[in-house]
Amino acid sequence: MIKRNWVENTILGIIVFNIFVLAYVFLIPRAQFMIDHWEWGPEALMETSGAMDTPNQYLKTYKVANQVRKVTKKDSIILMPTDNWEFGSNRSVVIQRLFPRKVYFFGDEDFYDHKNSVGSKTTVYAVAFSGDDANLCFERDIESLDETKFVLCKLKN
Amino acid sequence: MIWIDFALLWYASFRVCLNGCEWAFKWEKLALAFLLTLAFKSLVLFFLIRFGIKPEVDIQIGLSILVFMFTLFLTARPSIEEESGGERGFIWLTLFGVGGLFIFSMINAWFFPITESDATWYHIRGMSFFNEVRFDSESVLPTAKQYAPFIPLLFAYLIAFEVGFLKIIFPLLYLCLNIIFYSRVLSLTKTKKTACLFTMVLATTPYFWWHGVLPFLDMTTAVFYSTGILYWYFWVQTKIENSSLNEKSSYALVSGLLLGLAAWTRIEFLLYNLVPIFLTIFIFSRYQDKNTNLKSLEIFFSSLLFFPSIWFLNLLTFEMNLWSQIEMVGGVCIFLWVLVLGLKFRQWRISESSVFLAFAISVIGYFVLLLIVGVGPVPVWKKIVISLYRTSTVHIFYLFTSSLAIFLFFEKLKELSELKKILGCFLILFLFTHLAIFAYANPKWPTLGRFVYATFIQPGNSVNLSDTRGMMSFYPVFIFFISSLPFVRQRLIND
Repeated sequence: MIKRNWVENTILGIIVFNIFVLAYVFLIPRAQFMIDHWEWGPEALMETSGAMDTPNQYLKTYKVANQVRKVTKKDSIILMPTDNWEFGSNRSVVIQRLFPRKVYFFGDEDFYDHKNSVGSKTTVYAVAFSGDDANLCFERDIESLDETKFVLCKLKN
Repeated sequence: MIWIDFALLWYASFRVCLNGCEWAFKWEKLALAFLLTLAFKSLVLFFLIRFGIKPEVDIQIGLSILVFMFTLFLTARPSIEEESGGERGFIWLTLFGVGGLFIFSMINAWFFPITESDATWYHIRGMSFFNEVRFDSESVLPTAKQYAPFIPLLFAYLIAFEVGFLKIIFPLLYLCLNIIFYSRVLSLTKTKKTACLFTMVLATTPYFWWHGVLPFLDMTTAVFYSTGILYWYFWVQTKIENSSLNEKSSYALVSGLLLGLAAWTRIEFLLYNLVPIFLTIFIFSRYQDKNTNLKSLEIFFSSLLFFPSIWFLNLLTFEMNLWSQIEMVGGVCIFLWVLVLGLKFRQWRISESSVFLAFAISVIGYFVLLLIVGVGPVPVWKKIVISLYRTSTVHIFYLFTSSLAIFLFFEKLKELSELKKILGCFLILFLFTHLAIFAYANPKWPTLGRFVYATFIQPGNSVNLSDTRGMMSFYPVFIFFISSLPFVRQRLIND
């Protein structure tokens, strides 16, 4: 029979409790999530609510950014509405997904400088949604960005 | 191709460790070599980008081959050997436990893309470093541009070789931490059972595993800082026991480099580095009659300051105003260089009493600074109370691991050896430094009530705050300290 003193029992107890919490909070939910989404690509995963321990706050922003990424050229300029959309936005998410495209947000200090001073060979797109203050696609041909409620228009070829 | 490049550098680093770190176990040298490889790679990329050279694959592999060939001339010295036998059950359990957690974290790193806020900025910086070949891209927020570059540089490395899953670094760092921690506990206690048990405590701490799959800076900082402190402890031991100069120098170099790398990852860790720096000067002032050789001290300081200094020099070239907090840390870096140069060229001899005087002055200076510069929307007294509250309660996020502290109540602390008292002092001073840093910074919420709510009612709101994450650097050292207590060791050996 194995005899253990209380010091060893305490340390083993700490390990067992740690493993229990680890499994309950992290390992099992993450494994479950991975099983449920096993065949999904990174782009689709970005548009999910994410693992339970790190919920994805910007899934709607990822949806918009991924749509814009699909239909724009890598060397283009994208003009975005102010980054305080009511359904969650984060400019880092937009820049991350659209890199190396140059992205500028309405309301930034030098927004109009960028809008007006682009080279003739650069394609400029604008993204808008109904009710944003920028009105960047006013009276232009618009392309709907899937189910995101956002639209895209070309300002300059 | 990345496997070839990395294998070349890893083997080169391993040969450096074989040559210079006789005091390490073989597997420990592999883990240490891995950390040094990442450090070296980040340094190469930093200089390439600094000089406007795009770090293309062929340039990187060419440089790696050069380094590899150079290290072939280094002679390999024997490693210390572990004693055979011991508790096989515990060894297998630890291998199985740590290995299983590591493999699962690798699967997580491969599966989940980077979507965590903050981490997206590191990703953007990585892309910008590689594609735009500059550190001050207009795509990046001004504050994010000034963060230390280590993680974005590693992302740039993976992007250059078109590796899709950038999070792969973090589980590997988690594994390295556990290997080095195991080796150091084994080196100290000489019992595998103790080393296995405490490594399992560290590896199963949920917060550590979690951050082993998250692309933040904190796991990396914790790996560098805590392993740096473990080697620093052994360096102090060689100083007190008056060991050979080679051993002292190599411990000083490794611990200094690792502590410097912590600041290369999170620049504010230069402030946390003040704790081992202060204790080192105290020890050298105390033992200067027995051995006045300052070579290892100079090696420690210069290796510690190298990485943060080149980043501060780089920041000076940015055409933008620096963040006041970055300027303050830069001021600390200049102060430390003055201290090093004074020790080296002016042969300063620091007495024990002057160390205490300097400590008292710096504490008073801190409060003066807090009252003058720290004034903001939240009163200073409230910031101190909030920081005190946070420093004492963030430990609940480390759950059962923090309950190891109960062993302290059974130990005769006054009878501990001087070396262990120094390590104990380190832990206390770390907590005070943590308190001081977060009393200076503006709190996330203006009232203490909000923090209490975010701790006990909605812990999800504060589990990942910067101060909770910063405490990751404390825990490996704390667990190491507990494993070294005579009370604990005797009971584990006599069992």
